[in-house]
Amino acid sequence: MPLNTASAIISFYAKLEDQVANFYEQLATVESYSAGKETLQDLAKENRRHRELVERAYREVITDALEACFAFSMNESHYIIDTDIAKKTSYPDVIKKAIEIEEKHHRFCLDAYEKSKSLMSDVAQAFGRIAKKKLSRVARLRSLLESYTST
Amino acid sequence: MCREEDVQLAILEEPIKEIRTLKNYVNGEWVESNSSKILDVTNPATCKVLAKVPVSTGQDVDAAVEAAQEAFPEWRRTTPLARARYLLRLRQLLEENFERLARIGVMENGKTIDESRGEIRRGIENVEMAAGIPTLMMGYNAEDVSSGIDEQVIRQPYGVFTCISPFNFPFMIPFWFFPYAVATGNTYVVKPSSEVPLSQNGVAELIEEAGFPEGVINFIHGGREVVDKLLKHPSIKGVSFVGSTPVGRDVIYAIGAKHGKKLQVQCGAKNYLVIMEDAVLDATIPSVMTSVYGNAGQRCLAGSNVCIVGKDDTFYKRFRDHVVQAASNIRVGYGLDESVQMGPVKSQDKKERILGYIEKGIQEGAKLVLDGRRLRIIGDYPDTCFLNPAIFEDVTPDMIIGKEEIFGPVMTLMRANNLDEAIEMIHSNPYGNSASIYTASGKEARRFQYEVQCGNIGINVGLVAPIAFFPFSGMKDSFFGDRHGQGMDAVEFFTERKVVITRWF
Repeated sequence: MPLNTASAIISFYAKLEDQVANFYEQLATVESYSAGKETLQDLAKENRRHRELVERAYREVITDALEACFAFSMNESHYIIDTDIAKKTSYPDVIKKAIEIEEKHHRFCLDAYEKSKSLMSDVAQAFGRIAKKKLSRVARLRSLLESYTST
Repeated sequence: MCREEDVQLAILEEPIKEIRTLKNYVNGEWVESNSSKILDVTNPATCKVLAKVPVSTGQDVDAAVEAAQEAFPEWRRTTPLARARYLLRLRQLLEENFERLARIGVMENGKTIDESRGEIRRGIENVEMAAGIPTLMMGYNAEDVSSGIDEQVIRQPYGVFTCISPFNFPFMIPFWFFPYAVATGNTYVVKPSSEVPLSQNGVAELIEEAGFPEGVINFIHGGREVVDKLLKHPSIKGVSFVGSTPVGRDVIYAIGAKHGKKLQVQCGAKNYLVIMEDAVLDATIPSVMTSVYGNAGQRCLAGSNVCIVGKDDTFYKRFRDHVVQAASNIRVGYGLDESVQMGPVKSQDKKERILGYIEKGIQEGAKLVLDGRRLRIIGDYPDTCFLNPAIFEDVTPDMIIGKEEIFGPVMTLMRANNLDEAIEMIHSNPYGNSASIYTASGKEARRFQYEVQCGNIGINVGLVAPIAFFPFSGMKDSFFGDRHGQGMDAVEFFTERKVVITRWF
């Protein structure tokens, strides 16, 4: 599907954040992943905050004079995230999956930043900040994985 | 069979679920019109009826103006700070209803959801600007203009004002005027376009919720009879109008002036986008697309004549091929589909008018390089109001399609040997709403800004829509009056200056 308008980009991004937040929230309830419970809950909360940040930035800067309908050429097929996990997936495998998700999400935020920076600087800034945040989440998940495997 | 890229995305939820007959909002109450004449309000994408709107009578107008007149003495004595607070409450309600209002705009007008949200934002910005009235309305003074004598200027409201608004920005345009009018202590009657009355109906509901005193802002639906009555009504002090030049100049300005009204009459346009050979093409193309095809070309700031400067055929062809490609790829459909980049025009009549211009262009010898009559619509909608983007080349300023306002998604490509010639072409047109230049040269840009006789100038900006802090300017046949909508122009339009000279014995 094309992501060719600002509205389509924002909606798709919002769905991604919700999907990832739900993923972490569900994981946090699983007994066998309790080692990462606090981190998973934090990550989910952050997803909700990020969504709000981008939606607010868009709503506050959108005007009819911007190239909102004509400056984007992304495709959602490049950024679709799979959050399904099989039952009894091991804790390290779940964290590895989370890292993959964060990396893909980071790529989306970076591309959205590039596409929007010339016309909606507040939205671009929000995507830029969140893209950086996604990288730090990857680092956080990696350290979670390392601390688990070293014990 | 749709191609993969033609697939329609899910439609955003429609906020209008049932057909109702609208009422006027007069003196803080919802009142039925005395008229038995009712019009349908239709969604141009689906052709479904959204609401019924009354064609109000002269008696209805009298009631609205009288209510505003009665509310005036107390409202003008309300402190500017208190008046500003009503506006701040309205602003909060507009934010809370932002998405609903944006979707109503899409449904009744046909524009895309991004465009409609942009329209709501611009309206809100005017409320924010007007809420600064305690400062904006200040006068000035000088001590000792003569020995022991001081002199000051104070600004005072006039009384009742009205606006007559068009179909293309059903939410935003009344906001260029009424927030400033009521902030400065005047009272108001809004006359929304009868083609798109639902957005302003939503605004009236929020004005009621914000608790404005009865009669301060009134809304009356209707057509020509209402306009005529408002223009001639002895209690109306001033009229703001946005619409076509023939109506603006020959009806609103002519009749209004005869009846002693203060007037700001914002009219039609034929806007040039001048492309210099050093323009940054990657950024220029989306900007040109937005200017020409945004709002399906139905706006007075729409780029129309795209004039490529220079003798270099290679540059011209490269530019032309780029715009033809970009315009061919525009997804046309229902604006509540977030992947749609251009919606339908407002009505079948308007489509027919645009088709007439396409025919004229062909007859005049211009070359139709992209035929917008070949419809490709995303989704299963009646083609009644849809057009795809069209592009003509070999257009000259003396052709009908090169000089008249088409008000639709039609780009007319022209060529000029140099900037002098391009500016001459702009000046040969009677309109003076906006003009843009795309260039990397500061020198050429400055010359363009300095010389071009248009009210709104864009430098690497295709849609020169001023934000609320600036006037929505316009010159020549695009504007009649002396003070524009928005910004300090609006504050000045709605206030009378009184000089007070003081000496104490």
